[in-house]
Amino acid sequence: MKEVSFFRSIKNFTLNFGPQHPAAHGVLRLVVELSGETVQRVDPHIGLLHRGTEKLIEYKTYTQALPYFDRLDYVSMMAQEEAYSLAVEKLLGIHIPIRARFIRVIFLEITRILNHLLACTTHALDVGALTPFLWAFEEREKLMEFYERVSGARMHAAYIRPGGVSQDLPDGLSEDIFQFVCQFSTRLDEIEELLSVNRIWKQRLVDVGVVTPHEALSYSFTGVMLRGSGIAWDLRRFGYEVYSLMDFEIPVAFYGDCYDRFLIRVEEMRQSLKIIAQALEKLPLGAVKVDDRKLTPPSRNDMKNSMESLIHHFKIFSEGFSVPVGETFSSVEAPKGEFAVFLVSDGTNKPYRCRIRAPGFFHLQALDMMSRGHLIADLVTIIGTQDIVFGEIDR
Amino acid sequence: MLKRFELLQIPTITYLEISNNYLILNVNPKKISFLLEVMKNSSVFRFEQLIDIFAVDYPSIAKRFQINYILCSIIFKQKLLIKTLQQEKLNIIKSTKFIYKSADWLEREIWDTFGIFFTNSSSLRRILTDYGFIGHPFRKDFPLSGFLAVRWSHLLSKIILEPVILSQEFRIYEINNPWNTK
Repeated sequence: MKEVSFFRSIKNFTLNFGPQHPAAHGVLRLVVELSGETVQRVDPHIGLLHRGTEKLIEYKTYTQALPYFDRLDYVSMMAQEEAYSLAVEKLLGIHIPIRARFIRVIFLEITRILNHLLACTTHALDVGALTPFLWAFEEREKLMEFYERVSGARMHAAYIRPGGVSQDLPDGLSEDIFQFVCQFSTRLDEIEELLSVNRIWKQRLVDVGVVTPHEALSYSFTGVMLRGSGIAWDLRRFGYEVYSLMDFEIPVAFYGDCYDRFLIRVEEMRQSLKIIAQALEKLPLGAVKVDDRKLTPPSRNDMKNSMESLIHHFKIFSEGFSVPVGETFSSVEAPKGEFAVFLVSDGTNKPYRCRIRAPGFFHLQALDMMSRGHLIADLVTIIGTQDIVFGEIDR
Repeated sequence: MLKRFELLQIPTITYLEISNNYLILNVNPKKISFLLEVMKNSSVFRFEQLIDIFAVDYPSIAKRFQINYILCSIIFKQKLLIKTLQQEKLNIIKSTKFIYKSADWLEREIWDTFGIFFTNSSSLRRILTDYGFIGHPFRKDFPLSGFLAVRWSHLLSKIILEPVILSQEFRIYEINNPWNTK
């Protein structure tokens, strides 16, 4: 008879998660090592959405390179256009008109709400709550309509361009944004009623994925992930554009778990509303582009009536503009964290090198650290809290 | 902050400048890991956060790869750019993943896209490109359209790699203005 050993050694179980999994937020492939249901090790395999944006930009003029930034993190489009535009403006040494700065701030904050609505509610969807997702997408639709009215595109706006914004706000848009600001706080309350005090939501989020401040720094966390661990660090405080004129607070949480980060995202949306309201109130009149026909295209009317303008228009959209030799680094507080662009110019009309620093890349790297020892169901919660979008991680 | 560097007289720094509100140090590649350790742990700098590591390729000069480290000091609200130049196939840069944990993937990315090797890093696998990819795509001498294309073959019922065939020749418009524009 065969001898039965009662003390078998049990090997860890290796599981493939994704790349086509609804909770993977895109094309994330994880190789998960499990012991029972407990995660022992996670190895994220990224790059399934790699398009070589940095390389492509080297072959495009400065104007043509801009729309690539919309397509990086495709839920916070304008924040990335802003980072790129700031870098180009720094190299050119130009200062944009004050009205353009205000319009940029309004739309950057609209972008933040757009992103956080998606982040919070798809997180809820992953964890099992469908309703907030449906409600939030109703609101996102309104915000994307603002995008559409100002640029013609619902998502990939290409609105914030080097030298200002592509066109002025259409009639009645600022009133409509103000109306949205007035009612949105109540919509947030409704979503919070469903989630913030919800027992199931708390059971799934509290104490999951705790990150200490030391770990957060060591893993280069930025944005909500850093503030969730008790480090009050927000690049808007350094006052790019007109953030220094705005009165707003930076929410910080101290425990560093997924629930804290959720609360911060909700509070940031409220602060964004405050900023939008202030910016609308102070919105000055004036130009929305720098008055330099070598950098910004002339108006449609000028183009039809003046030969000089027609030539400028043609040259800007065919050859673009040349940028002085130099290199610069500019970073903005995108909804997901610090989004930075490093531009090297060799004096021609194309960037020599454009390095894109995506915040999600660093957060995903820490997935292993955050999910060790948790159950496999918590892995989904942690992916959700990191607010991962593959467009920016894979670039 | 600039004063602190001057007072300390760290011997590894060859060149120090300020541009666009950032401090820039030029450093010998051998001293990178030592310098980063000082920058992170010394109480006068406290650059606790690594923002980014990336490379720039200048194929026309002998030391063709410029590797840049961007650090951030939360307490002193300062950013620092450390630059170093390195020749191809001269592997002298030490991995910094033991100093900053986030350096791991960044070094993998540089290895993947530029082919710059970091010594004593055990995890230099490809990260952004495909499994089994050949070459380092972000080098300036790598063509934009690449060498191999992936497609699904109905005949063989599997994914196959084949040389890139462009129906139209790749065109690059070098239309630089002969006039001084600015």
